[in-house]
Amino acid sequence: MTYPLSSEVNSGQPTMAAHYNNLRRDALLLGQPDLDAVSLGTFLKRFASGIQLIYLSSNRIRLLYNPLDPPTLVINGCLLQNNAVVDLPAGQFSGSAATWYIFAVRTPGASTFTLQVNTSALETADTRIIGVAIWSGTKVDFVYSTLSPSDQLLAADYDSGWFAVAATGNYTKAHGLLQWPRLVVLLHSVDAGGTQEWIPVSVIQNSAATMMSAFGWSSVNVYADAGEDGASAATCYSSRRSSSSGYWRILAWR
Amino acid sequence: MTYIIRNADGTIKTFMQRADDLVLSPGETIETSPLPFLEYALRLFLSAGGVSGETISVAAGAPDVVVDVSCPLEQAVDIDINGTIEHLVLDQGMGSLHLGTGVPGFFIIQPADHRTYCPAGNSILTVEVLE
Repeated sequence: MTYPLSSEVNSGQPTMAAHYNNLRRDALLLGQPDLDAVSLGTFLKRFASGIQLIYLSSNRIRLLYNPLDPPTLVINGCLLQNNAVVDLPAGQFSGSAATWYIFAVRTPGASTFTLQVNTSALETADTRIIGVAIWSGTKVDFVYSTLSPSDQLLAADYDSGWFAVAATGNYTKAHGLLQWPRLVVLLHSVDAGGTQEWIPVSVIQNSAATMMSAFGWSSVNVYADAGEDGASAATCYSSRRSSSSGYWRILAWR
Repeated sequence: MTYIIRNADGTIKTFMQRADDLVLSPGETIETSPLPFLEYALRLFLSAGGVSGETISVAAGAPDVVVDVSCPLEQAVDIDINGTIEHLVLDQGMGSLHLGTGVPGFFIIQPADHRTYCPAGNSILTVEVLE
């Protein structure tokens, strides 16, 4: 089938029924016969792109905004796109431990959407499930989007935050992923705020002549061990810098 | 708030931003400080030439390495240099130490009192004098 079916009309030329119908078929079916295609509205009904959710302090949730891939959804046939981050306010979670569902919410008269959570997974005409939050009864343990494209690296499922390190220190952290992490990264910073360059730590100096891997993990914990006293690179050994002090941070993904 | 982890002997092992993920080793204990994490990290701050949190390497025979010590609100602090304790009098919480570079080897500068100050993060500094 030729696409587009419709053709231009000249000024003053009467628009024939065929013109209109071809134009309509182009718009709805990309020029294909009814039996060979669903309409674009049906096709895009569950479309979603750029949906990335992260945990925000105080049991809040943030829908990230990336101008190169803005959060985009179709809800109730409406094409919606956010132009800034959207935060779920604090105080939305309560009760005993449960799975909470994160919804995008369309408001008539707005071309953007907001967030809402509920223990029920039931969508309404103007809401659509975009993610899940695991509530422990006292805090949000983790958050993930059910719509995130798999070709994007999501925010880490576990983040230890920065902690002070020095030679001989052994640090064990429970990642809480309830499975073996698929990826673990150990980072080094020279300051507690992580404001300067982060160095991935793969090996550390265990003695003057020995370099050893610095960390490992199980289905429960991440284990990170600094090198020996007297080494110049007991916590970071890199072409970028060596250190026997500073701060480590562990990130893990399920 | 900052979480402080102590070794079995009462000395401070580390401090961290969160502790709900912490697995303590036998004998270790945890306590909290009302100070924010970044503020706690600055209680004793050692640097040389503006560098902290990483090993400083200098050639033997180079000018002395000046280690700047910041310990806000304190009049003096005891600093351990390779096991030798230096009583450093502070001026408005600031002082400095001079390390000679005549002999290759390591200087490890850290607080003498590990029960008050954590010998990690920015409170310990390694200076390597290269041959």
